[in-house]
Amino acid sequence: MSFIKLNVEIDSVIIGERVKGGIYRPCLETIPSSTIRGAFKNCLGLEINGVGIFVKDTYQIKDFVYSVKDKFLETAKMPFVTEFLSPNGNSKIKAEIYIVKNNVISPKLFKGLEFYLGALKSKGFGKTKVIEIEEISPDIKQGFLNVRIYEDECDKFNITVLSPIYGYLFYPTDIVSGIYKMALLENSLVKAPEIFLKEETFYDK
Amino acid sequence: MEKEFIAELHDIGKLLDKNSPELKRYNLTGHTFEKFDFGKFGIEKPTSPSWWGQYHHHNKSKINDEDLNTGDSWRDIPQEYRPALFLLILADHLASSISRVLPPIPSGSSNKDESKDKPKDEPKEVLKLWNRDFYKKNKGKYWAAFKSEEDLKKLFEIIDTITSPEEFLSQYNEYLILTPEDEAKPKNITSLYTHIELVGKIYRVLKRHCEIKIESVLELKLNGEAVKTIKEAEGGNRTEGNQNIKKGKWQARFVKCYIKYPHSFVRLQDINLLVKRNKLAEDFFAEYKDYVMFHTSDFISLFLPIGMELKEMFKDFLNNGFFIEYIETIADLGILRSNLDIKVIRERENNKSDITKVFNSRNTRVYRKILLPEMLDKIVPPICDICQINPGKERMKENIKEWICDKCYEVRESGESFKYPDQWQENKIVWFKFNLNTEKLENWLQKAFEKYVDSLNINNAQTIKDEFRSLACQSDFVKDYKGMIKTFWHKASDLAKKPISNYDELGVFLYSGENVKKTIEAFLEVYNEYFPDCEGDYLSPISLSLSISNVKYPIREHFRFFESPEGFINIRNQNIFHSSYDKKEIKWLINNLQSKGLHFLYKLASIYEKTGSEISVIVEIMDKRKSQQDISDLYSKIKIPPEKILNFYRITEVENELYKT
Repeated sequence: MSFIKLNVEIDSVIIGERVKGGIYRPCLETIPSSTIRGAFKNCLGLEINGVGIFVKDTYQIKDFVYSVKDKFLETAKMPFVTEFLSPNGNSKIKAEIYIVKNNVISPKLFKGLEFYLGALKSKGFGKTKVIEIEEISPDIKQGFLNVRIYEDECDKFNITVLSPIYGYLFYPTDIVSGIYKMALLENSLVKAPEIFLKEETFYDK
Repeated sequence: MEKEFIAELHDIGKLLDKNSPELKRYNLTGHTFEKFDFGKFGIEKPTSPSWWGQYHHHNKSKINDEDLNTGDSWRDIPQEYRPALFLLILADHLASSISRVLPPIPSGSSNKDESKDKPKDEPKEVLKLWNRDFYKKNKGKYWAAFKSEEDLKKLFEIIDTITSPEEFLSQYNEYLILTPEDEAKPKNITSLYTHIELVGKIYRVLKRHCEIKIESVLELKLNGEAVKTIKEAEGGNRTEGNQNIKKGKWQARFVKCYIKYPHSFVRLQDINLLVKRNKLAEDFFAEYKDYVMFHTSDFISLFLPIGMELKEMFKDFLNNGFFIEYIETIADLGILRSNLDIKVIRERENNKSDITKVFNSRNTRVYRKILLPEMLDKIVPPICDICQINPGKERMKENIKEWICDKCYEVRESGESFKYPDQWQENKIVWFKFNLNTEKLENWLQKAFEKYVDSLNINNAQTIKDEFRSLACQSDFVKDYKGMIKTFWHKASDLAKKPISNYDELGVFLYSGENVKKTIEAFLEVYNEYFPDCEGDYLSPISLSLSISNVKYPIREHFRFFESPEGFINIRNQNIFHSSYDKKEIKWLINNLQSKGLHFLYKLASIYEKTGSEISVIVEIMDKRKSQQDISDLYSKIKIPPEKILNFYRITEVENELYKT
């Protein structure tokens, strides 16, 4: 199975969890398939299956305070703090995005592409640039998963679940609503292309 | 009513000082009394079932190879007590700290160089790998509970009169913790207390699950497999080579269980989840007491027969939203040990086909699995803010709307919740947490044991290292860890508060540089008391993490920091820095850092940040070595990066520095 690997650079990004207590929004340190799907649907208008991994030590977590405006009531809501990933040092955040290659999705689509990832785009977060594109056919190995994907996408990524850790990812069903779909989380034990693994393991099945 | 067979009494002879002058005339050898001439000395022979535990090394351990119906070694034992002795021998092997495959190493002869000079009656002392002078520190206390003729009579009386394992363990606790399981070096690394405690537990688990038929012919079955000899049940004791590797008929499991939760704490009351975890754990230990080898607040080591369902055992945890990650090792009793998983995985990883072949031929399995609570395929929003695995319900508090599921809300509202004292409001606080990493502990124990073996300069060193079984040492270590934290709280009760009254690993105090220092000093003091020989570095199984923030800072962020401690002491200052220190570094910083030179530290940290070059920092330090003697010494002698010196200095020495930043 082939994947398109995009090496990207990001200014700063928010991939938020649920808001806590109405005032605090933690940030994920991985790029789930739901985020990739949303980003490319916005940018290219295509349904693209992909996941991403931030390159360790290229980012740090910081806080950003902002207040949402209630457009209907013309009032400001209570300010809240959201975490975001900010570059570590002077360079940019680096990430690898892996996209399932098929007849429609080819590497050409992504050449020099700039797009937005995650939340608060209006505040300048999530600006992402594709720096390098590769086609890869990784080996299948057993190990701990390093990404987050919808459970029903496993086949598309050639992932066999051995011992899952499940959670949920938001899945938009139309422009204003959606559901939480079951998702396979990091550290699940799987057989998968090695690019999706934190480390190889040798447990019995 | 028939008395109970108390497995814990099998090694009571190890509490007897055979070399005591009063006992010389009895010519006692070994630690069992099956050959003792009671008639000759006019002492009454015990008659309780527990007496037959004395035969566990009978006939120089030939008892392991002989049929329990017809073997010479079994003939002296009444048929009705043979099953208990049979299971005791299996339990004794499983609980030993080094495989019984090794030939006995006589006391005092282990060191090739020193053996000639050593007295035969070298003292029996337990040697804790992390606290080598433990015995010497207990000045005035002596390991032997029985030293006189009267004591000897008492020992035999005890075999008859003790009514429960707990009674024996509590009555003789002070002697049992000072006596080694085996006095011969390097086997003297486990306390007799822990050894017999584990033997008792394993014995009762085997007994509970073993089908025993006492008719004309004795039959013992485990999982439908009937056996007649210990050897047949265990199989060979080796995992490599060609000898002693035969498949055994009886298998069992060691399971390492990690209690985890997906919850993300929103309000302070949400840490009631840890109260819930403690309560569930207490209930679990009460119900499965004998199956639990040892435990920490979030880890349980289990010995289980094949077929016992983990999902059923942990159902209450799962129903409350916890999940259980476990590593399960299934193997023949002859090779089963709590750290076998590490060996199996390592040999597979290194592609050692000869060893892997032996494991496979003996149906050895290592699984890593996760038990999850029941979950829906999809959730129509909202989802619970806290656990994020159940549908949330709208809740309003203080004009803030939240979506919390019933279970998380129940936890939040249950019991008394911790509140910060009024005088802490608007101030900085410090949350801290002790951590014991059981994986690091296994690795540390293996390395410490290897170092100990090397120091003895003995034959077959590599085989002995390979045959180390860490279970008993782990259990001893965990007991000391719990003791250390209790002692910490005796010293620090005026300084810090426990947010959960019966949970000692977690604390919080009002920030001041002095309080941070005092807390770290109190920790170092108790650590040095309990673990002086466990290097406090990034390999240390024990760590302390401190997280400094303002009082309103989200509680979940403190816990996120506590989840994966990097070093021995980890300090995080909200949005400013986090640094890890080892014991040596922190001691130097506390003792040598003077309240001057802050501007110089800033300069060094800035040079390092800009250039990433240690040489530039060294040049600057050399240039100012006369005016900045302290910092120059810290850097050149201990090699502490300037940034770490600065960070420590800022939180402990600088008045109002935190507020400025």
